[in-house]
Amino acid sequence: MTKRNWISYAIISIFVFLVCGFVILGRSYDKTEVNGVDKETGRSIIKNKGSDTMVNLAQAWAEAYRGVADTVSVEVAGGGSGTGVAALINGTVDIANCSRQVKDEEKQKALENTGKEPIEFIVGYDALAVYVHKENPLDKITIPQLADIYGEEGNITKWDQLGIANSGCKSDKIIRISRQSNSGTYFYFREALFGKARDFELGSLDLHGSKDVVEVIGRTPCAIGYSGMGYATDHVKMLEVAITSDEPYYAPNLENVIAKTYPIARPLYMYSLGEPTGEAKAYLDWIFSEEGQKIVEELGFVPLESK
Amino acid sequence: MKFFQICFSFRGRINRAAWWLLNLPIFTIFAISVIAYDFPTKISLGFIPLLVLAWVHLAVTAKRWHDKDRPTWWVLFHFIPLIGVFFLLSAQLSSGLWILIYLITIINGLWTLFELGFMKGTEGSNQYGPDSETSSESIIDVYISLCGISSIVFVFGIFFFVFKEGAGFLFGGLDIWEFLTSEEWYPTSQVLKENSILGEPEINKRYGTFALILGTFSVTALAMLLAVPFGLGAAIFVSEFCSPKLRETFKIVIEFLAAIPSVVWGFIGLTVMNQLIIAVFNAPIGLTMLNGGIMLALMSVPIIVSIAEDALKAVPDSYREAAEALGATRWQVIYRVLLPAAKNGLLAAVLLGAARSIGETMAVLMATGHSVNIPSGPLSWIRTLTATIAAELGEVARGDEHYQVLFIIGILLFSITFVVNLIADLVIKGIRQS
Amino acid sequence: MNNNTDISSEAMFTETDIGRRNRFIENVFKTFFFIMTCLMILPLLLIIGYLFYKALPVLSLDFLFTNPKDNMQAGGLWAPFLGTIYLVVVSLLVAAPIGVFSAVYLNEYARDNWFTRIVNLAVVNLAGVPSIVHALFGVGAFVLFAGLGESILAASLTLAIMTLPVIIASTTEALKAVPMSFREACWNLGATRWQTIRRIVLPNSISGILTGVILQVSRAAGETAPIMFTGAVFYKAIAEGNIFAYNIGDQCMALSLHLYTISTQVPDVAEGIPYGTAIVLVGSVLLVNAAAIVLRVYLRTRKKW
Repeated sequence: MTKRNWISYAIISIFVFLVCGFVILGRSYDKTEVNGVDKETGRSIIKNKGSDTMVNLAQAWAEAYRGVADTVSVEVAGGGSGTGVAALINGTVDIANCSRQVKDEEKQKALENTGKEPIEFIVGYDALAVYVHKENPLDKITIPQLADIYGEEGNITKWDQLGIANSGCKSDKIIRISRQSNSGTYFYFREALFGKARDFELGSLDLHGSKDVVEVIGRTPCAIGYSGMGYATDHVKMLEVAITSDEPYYAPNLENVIAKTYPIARPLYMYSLGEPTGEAKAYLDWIFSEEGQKIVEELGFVPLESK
Repeated sequence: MKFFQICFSFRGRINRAAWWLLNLPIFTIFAISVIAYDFPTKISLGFIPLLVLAWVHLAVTAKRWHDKDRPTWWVLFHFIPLIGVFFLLSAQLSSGLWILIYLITIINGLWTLFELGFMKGTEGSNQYGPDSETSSESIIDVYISLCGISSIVFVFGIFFFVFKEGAGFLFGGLDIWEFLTSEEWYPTSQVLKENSILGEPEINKRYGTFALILGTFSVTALAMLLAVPFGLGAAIFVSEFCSPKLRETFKIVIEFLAAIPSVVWGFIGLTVMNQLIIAVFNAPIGLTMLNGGIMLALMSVPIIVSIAEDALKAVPDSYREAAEALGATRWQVIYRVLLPAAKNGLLAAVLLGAARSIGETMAVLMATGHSVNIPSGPLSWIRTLTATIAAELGEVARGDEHYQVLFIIGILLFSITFVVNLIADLVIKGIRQS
Repeated sequence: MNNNTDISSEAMFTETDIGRRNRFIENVFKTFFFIMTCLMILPLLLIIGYLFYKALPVLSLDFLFTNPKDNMQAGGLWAPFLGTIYLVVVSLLVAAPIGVFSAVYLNEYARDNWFTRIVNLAVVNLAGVPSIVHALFGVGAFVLFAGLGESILAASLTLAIMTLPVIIASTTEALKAVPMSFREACWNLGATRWQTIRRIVLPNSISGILTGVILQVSRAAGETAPIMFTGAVFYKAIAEGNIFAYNIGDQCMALSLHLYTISTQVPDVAEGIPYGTAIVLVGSVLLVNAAAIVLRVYLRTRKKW
């Protein structure tokens, strides 16, 4: 019996020793490997996450990039700008897409958490168009009018208050279409309409997707809504927008956005954690190339002006 | 042998089943820790349970060798792969030696697996103990008991983890009265409070869910209004008027109806029902409470039918025979005898149907218009508690107030459905006892 | 009728006014309930028919085996379809053993006491927890606490816990249907509890267990809310035709979420594609259900008691 016990102790000590050695060696072994490489396929993976506004764009880039660099696979996830920022802070993403600027305190958090500061890139512009049904006689609108339609205690609730007879809409009530309250689009539209002074009036239809907004407006003569200008369909009309009624009206199109005359346009950001290196840098460089920027335009966004 | 002896002792014998039963979970856990946690490249606290599991693995293996009348030190064969890996990692080896180590490792692994996992132990007792035929049963008993109580663990786990994420704000800052009674849902407001005292600027974020609660309950009520008559009517028809063959067919169809995923209902609400409501009711927009209510009714009707039918079937046939012997017609039997006798079961059916509607997410997210609104009629658009979580959880920063509020809504939903299910359960228990 | 004390045999077989009226009322109600039942079934046929009609232009085998392309405006369903299969298989691997053993515990081991009642109540409540609360749990427990991140594993575990009651309910019913005398006969031969379960109870209830497992598959395949935040992604390119294209620690696409995104978020999707996605989703779920039904009917005819 005593002999057998002695053997078990010996076995266990050998085991513990081996495991410890294994673990320590395993750690040093892993460091020699290139970061973010899929061990099975040998493909590098770039994790790309964030804004729902940009997800189509990011996805189109990812798809086209497979043709450019065969050994790189870009994983795209939507979920919203907030998700992207959160992933930056947690260090679980290589590139975050953001339709708003990352706040300083968020940058600080990311720096504390991961030791790297998010680096900002503007990869294109997005214009928020104001949409109405295609049979709506309204052609143009001013920012104060929009603020009165959407804002808390706003006093425009009927179409005839805008000076038009919307014959398709029997009740004449304006149906406000909006987005869920933490989407980047919602944030930006609110900022553009009334800065930080007011909130939206409750009771708007807060839809969950940019496409949803346009589709619903396309079926609803009473509706007004906002969404990226790339989402336009044949069933809706984009309004010309002016900052005040004294200023000229501008249609949401490429020239006006590049010339910065269209009032509700915003930059689209991508953030990398620390200065991009390796495959991530190559990917970003490709996005800034002519080929990458062409995709921006194809998707209804506005490419960088340098082009 | 007791479970703990089997796991940790190096004495005695066990059979193949016991070896597999303990090792399969261990292998799985190791595989998961390699895949998900990058074991062994990251050392963390999670490493300690892995060491314990490795001990269990060795103890079990030793006993399995005993079972084959082999001495304890045969466990050392297990270390050959580890030694191999050790060499591979530490030294620059020539390729010939590399292949040799590789081959030895593979052959050793296959051989031990075959011997331990597939070969019977010696018949009868040997120097290490009596025959091991039933030694796996105590393990199985433990496993089955663990699985049995898993539901309790999961229910508590759900409550605990949802609560954990939301607790910080629930006890630190959320005005619960305002949360339940205010209709102002401004989780992302940037407006400064007008009367902020002491000059400290305070952002006027408001987390009032009254409109959402009303939305949930009104759309559920509407769904029940539509589903209960149809569900009960169908249950009565299927259980009382049908031939057995027709009954089977109907039950299959109802099963199919129950199987349609909620996102498909939402899609139908968004595309088909939307246009239908615009056309029929001349409504400006078809994404309304009515739309969501119809979708929820269609989703909860199968539950109502199947539970109500069970309840009707549970009424003893002697009741029916007695009533028919008194000259009652079928309808009189149903109306005067069956419905009163089965009323608890029918109530439970309605309650469970309602619980399903309250908890439904995708269909209402897509079909009700998703608007913070005090509902004013079937054609008004509304927003429910579930849809709010689904729409907003994706974009909130973790740990944020808004994030925590969404989890608090989760607690609220959990509590509501828990209470409804509890009542339904008590009601059903009521029938069983009487 | 009761006042008639001297009913001749002739009068007994002629129809009275009351009898006729009663029969009429009965028929009215019968028809009424029949119509109600049909009104419930009609939507099913209409929906499937309509989806199928709208999806017809895109439906083909290619649709299933090509990836979504051109910003998901065209192409097929390969990546989401494979993702759904991964989610279902992994969740099945977790839920099936736990669910079956759990039912065995409730039916064969547990005594009729307060603890068993609590376990039963827990099963009922687990089934009643809203799917979005399961999602919150998945985020809190698997994604964050267990550190699995958003991955197939985290999503599958969430699905597994969500669908556990389906397996438990179906297995319990099957175990209950095995006559007590079978077990008693086995015990009298000196078999242990587990030997009885293994040799007698489980083989005789295999049909019910399989039905439960199949229903779990269909339930897990259709769910959206629990996987939205725990592991399913908007888009992920994978190799076409390679069934090992996903890694269990990665995120994946899923059919249900794909239907949601292309019907609410992706602009200019070709008309038939959302309908095609819906019909593939509904079709696979119903096929799986039909398999369960066929199995049930087939095994019932072979039942020997």
